[in-house]
Amino acid sequence: MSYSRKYWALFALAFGVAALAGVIIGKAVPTQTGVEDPALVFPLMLGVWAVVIATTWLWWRRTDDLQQQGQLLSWWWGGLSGTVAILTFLLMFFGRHSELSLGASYLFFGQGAGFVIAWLIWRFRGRGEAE
Amino acid sequence: MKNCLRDLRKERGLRQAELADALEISRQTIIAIEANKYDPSLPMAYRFAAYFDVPVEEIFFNPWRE
Repeated sequence: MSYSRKYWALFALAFGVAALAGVIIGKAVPTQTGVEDPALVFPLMLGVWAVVIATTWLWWRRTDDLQQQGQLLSWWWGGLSGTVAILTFLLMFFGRHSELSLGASYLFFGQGAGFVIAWLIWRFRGRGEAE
Repeated sequence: MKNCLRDLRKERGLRQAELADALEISRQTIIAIEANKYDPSLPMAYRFAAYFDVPVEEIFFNPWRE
């Protein structure tokens, strides 16, 4: 199988698993309230997320420098700008303490925490002897 | 970074897609490098050099030496 076929097959697999995970999470969570036993379901859903990440990793390993740079640049500049634009919109139109704004803020903090963890791992892995 | 990847590829009678498949990289990457729009990483540059069996600096020209 050629490189491009492998690449697109793994991309389709990662996308399909992510979509399936979305359906599973969607079916598991009621529309208006949280789940009955969040202490049990939350770790299970993190497990679903881990499967998605593992599948995505298979695709990521097949990407080359330029493709990875495209993803990283787009997520940093595009993803962050989009998030801030939506967050600002929600704050301006619905107020700081609306459920929408609070929910979006939690996501934003989650992104920030994830960024710090990933950055620390990157920094730690890149260490060497200083002379 | 200027390079002669296109010339080398054509000398070998390869299409961009064929070279991309041989090196297990995307065709888009070949296009971007040939257009001087993207500088490859050192490992990728060495992969090109090994494939064409030439030193890296025969493909990618060192701008600090000229």
